[in-house]
Amino acid sequence: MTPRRCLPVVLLLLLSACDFVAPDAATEPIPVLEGILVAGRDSQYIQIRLARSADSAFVPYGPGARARTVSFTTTGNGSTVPAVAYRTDWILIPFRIHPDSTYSIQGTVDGIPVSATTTVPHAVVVDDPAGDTLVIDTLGACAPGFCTFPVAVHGEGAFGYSLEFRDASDVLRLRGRIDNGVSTLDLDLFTLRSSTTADFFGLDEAAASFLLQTEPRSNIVGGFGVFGSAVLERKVVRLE
Amino acid sequence: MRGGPLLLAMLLAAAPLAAQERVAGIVLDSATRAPLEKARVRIEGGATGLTDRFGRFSLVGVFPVRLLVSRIGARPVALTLPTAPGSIIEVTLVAAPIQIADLVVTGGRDLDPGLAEVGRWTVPQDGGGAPAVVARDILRDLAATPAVTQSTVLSARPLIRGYDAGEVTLLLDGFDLPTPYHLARAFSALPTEAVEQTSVITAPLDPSVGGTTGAAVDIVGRIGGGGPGQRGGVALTPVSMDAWMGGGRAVRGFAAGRVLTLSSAAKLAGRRLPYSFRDGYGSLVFAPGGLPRIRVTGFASRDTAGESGGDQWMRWGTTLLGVRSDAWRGRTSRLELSAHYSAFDQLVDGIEIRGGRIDVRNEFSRVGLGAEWNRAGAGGRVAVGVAPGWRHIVNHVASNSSGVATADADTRVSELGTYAALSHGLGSGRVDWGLRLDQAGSNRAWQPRVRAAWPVGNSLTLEAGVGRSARLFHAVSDPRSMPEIVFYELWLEAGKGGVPVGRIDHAATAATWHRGGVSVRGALYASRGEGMVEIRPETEQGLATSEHRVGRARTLGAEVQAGVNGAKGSLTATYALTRSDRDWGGGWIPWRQDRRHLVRVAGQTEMSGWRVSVLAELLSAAPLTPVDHIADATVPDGTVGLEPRGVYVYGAENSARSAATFRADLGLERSFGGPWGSRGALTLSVTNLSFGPLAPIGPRDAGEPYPDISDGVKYERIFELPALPSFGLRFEF
Repeated sequence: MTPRRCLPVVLLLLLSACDFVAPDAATEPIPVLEGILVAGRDSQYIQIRLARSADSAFVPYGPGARARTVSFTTTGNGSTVPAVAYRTDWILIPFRIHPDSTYSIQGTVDGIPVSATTTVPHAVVVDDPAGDTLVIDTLGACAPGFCTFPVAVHGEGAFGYSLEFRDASDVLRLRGRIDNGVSTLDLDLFTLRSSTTADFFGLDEAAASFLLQTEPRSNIVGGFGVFGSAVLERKVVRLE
Repeated sequence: MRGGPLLLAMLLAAAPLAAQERVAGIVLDSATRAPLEKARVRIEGGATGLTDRFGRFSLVGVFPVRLLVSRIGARPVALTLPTAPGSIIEVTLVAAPIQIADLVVTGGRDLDPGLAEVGRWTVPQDGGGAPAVVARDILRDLAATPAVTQSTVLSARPLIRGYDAGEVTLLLDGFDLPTPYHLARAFSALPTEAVEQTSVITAPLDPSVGGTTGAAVDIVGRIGGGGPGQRGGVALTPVSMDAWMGGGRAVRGFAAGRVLTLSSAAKLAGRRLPYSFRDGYGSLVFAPGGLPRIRVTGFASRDTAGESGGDQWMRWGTTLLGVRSDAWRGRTSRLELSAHYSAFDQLVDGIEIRGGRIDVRNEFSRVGLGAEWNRAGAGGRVAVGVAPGWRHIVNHVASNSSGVATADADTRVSELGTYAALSHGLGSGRVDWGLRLDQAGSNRAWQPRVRAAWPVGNSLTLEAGVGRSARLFHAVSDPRSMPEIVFYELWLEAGKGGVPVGRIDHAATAATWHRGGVSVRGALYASRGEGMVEIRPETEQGLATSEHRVGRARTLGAEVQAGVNGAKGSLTATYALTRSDRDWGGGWIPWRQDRRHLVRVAGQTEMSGWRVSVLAELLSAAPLTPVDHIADATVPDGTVGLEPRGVYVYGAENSARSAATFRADLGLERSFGGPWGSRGALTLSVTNLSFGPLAPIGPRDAGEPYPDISDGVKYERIFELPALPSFGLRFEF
């Protein structure tokens, strides 16, 4: 074979030798914690799971990988509170948190140690709408399935802002983010009409980096997820 | 010769031992009468020099002499001078078709005093040899050099020997040119018709080159000819419409302009395209008595995307105005003065990217002065230079997306660059000792540089160099540039916010051999750097106090390039082995563009009146950060309510490898006689004739809020590209 003919053969061999082989997913699980402590609430909830291996199928609302044993302690503001695990995928922290305070959590999930820290923002102030009521003009502000209405918020120690609508039973119905003073929610009017209160949240850095971003960042040492905190101001919702 | 002080005294001495006399002259293009810089002028058996930016040279020798003048892209000329000319002589060079193999070895065994050709590859714009990627581009044409790659075919930004394009300085007629790119950095903003040649200069650099930690790309603009009448032309490609013209005698002018083809066509049809650009280059050379003394360079580029005042739009542009003066010439000395203003500005309003919106107000401007005195003789050269400057950076990048690094800076800095270089013979070779000092505010960087070259026999030349390069600010681009549009940079001033001065120490050695039509060049290089700055990638998922990170770099590589020129055509084969690592505080990991193996084959031949050129490039896999887990992100706060989503949890950064990429391009060119005595050329090209694979591999839907992971994480090519046919039509009159 002449050198001229060797060249394409060599190139093809090199190319075929460089086929992609997908990297192996991790086999050992990692704990995933998700919890936002909210100032003013009597109890705080943190969800505990195990992350799926990257080569496993993800099914929304699926059972997920449940941990077998969890044990946590929360400290902060001069007190230490053991978490109460109702199930191995939930822990309840029965105490109120305070603005400007720092809280830490540490424990194990199936023997894997995890820990995290959060600093609660100072306050969130809703400049617009002023007063106790959020009025939404459903005809002017809402195209089908999509509502936009202006808000103005600020908060010392807050890294981001979000908005939650709850119904009369205090069940969470919708969550949206507040960007540049405008709240944009993808919601239907039926859901909006069932909402009676709107909670404006000032989020700490951990909560903002996890909840509000396309690619969440985690502050969990030894695992993944969020242990964050927020302050809130509640308003009544009125639709017109 | 030994001893610096003794050498210096000898260089500065008035009377050499033998009856050496001077021959001074200017090298011109035979067709346009434009001065040609970097032409090699050699007294056979004696001194060698390169023409300066005014096309001038000055050598001393014992007459009679045989003067040999050569330049890539031209037929060499030999002149016999029985006696020293009493006046400046003119040497004209006739253009000759470039063979791709000509680019392997551009120097020769006779070394110019400043060793300007050490570590340099030069690509003439006229017939450089590589097929056009849709349209000719001066930076993409650098693919003819082994030291240069691009991240993908979508980018024109040169990655040179294991470093990002941000570590490379671009020079236009010797002046710094900031960020000259069109949309997504896919094309450079310089009209190809404005450029005469482009060179890649690898580190360690000549001490006169500052403002870079890595390599330099030296772009030489065209000059208007000194002959009768004017010359010009027009060209059309799917990307741009170009026009250029030049001429003059005592004042020689050249101007070239370019606009986006589609936007111009839309305008003619009464419509408006949401993207347009305009580029312009101009040069003026004042040549009293026929000799160029002052050269003015002007360049401006403006891009607009979207509707001004609309929801999403952006506008950016680059401006350069420079003046260079051949202030004084003695027998072997000269003084050159220069001044320039360069600026890059950018406005972005509300562009949606990565789940958020971005607003940018960027401005980079610099005013600089320069003065260089140099003396070159048979024994060597001495050069001393000073370059004060004033830099203003405005860097406002605001976004509500975590995928975008933000900035809020407004700085004004005075800076000063000074350098000195001394070269002398060492055996049969030459050594150039250089020292550069750059200072800005309280930051200071000393940069010693030593380069040497030795001819061995008639066919072999050895080169070596060690040296340091530093830069007192960092230009950091978005690391997630592919396949999304790259359209903003962050400029971080050293000494502020924990940002250090970037310093890289380079060492390189090379050997070039040529005989007849065969040439071979081999090189080894290594470097170690500190103060490297990069935007934190999206795969780094922990919270951090800063959006950028600081670390160290190291590279190690080898290049082999061989070329064969024959009667029927030309062939070049290149292999490069490169290793480039970074340490961001957690140990050494591969750099994100660490493509270990490069194989590139380029060839040209003539077939039935068509010049056929081909380029095939194989690059091994880029690093890949694997996805280790999928986490369910819901935070339902104790109630059911939100749709959960799967979030990628990444493993160790760059711990896996993507897949190789391959590309084959084909170009055809035919010259013909055009109307009104013009010379026409038709070019046809197909980029990606092999249909790839062109793109690296990444996790599917990475960066999307709801990635499709119903069957786990899948990896796929981040973009696909079909074969891209293109054409070009050019008339020169």
